Amino acid sequence: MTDFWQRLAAAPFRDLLEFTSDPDGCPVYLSLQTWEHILEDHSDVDSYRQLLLPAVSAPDKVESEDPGRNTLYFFKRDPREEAKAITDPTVKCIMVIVRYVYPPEFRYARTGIVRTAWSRRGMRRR
Amino acid sequence: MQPRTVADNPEITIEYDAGEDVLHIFLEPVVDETFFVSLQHQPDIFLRLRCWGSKFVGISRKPASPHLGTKSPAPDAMRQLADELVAQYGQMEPDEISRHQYKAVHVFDDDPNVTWSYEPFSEILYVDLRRPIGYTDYVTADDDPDVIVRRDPQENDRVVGFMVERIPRRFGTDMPDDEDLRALARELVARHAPGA
Repeated sequence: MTDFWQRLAAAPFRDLLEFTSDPDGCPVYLSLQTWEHILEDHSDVDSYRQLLLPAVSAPDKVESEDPGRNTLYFFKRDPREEAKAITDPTVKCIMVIVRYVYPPEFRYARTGIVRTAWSRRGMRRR
Repeated sequence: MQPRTVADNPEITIEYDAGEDVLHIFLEPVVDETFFVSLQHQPDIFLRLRCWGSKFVGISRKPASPHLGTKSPAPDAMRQLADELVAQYGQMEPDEISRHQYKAVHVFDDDPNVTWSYEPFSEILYVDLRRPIGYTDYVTADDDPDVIVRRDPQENDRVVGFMVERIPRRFGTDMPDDEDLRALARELVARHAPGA
């Protein structure tokens, strides 16, 4: 299978590409347009590129913003900090924010779109 | 070319929201989640885009009553305003819309390095005190859990920017006013980086 990042780089700018699936099996998408803007706003994310996909598919922690869980925050620990517990407030991690929509193209099935991402210390939304 | 007037195109519908004083024009039936992008130099014009794929599906004007003359507009007045808006903005191309959707940068006062921008899909207000903002640490503000202060660890943790999440919740609308966003940005600079 072609590497996602290679496919993304070759994709039309605004097309949403299937990035991975979340732990509930919902597909999550990302566009080159969004990725470029993530890098522009959050250059720290570039060094975590290979952690973004597992952050969504196999997160260390997930927080939700709303009762409908239509915005989820996925956290994945920096592998260089494995000595720290995921509850350690200083643990370095990547946070990926995914918004869920229900497009008719997919028969209104729950579908995720990466909104943005940045690195932080501590796996907490706030 | 597809007709783009309310009368000519049965797909176009209009709706006036008196509570928010917004005239909504739907260029096609809206079938799922959408968000609004304000035009950089016309902050009372909003384009409605689908969350899935950012397709342009509507135009809104807020406030609408100054253009309708009343908060109880007659259908003819709404149709006339809708026709004007559809004629002016209804053919906008995706590339042009993208320029408003992402990082439509507003300069603070006269300093081109201090800017703010609002990204409506991520619902985040960005305030950058330098351009490009570069690598930063992110620290949640003590007094406001939606405010993230961006510090440069290479510069003795100097404050170089802010992010404010959940803007629609803060302002009670998913069509925030540019002046409210500017005032919030200014307040953050004054509170966390008064020397900037």
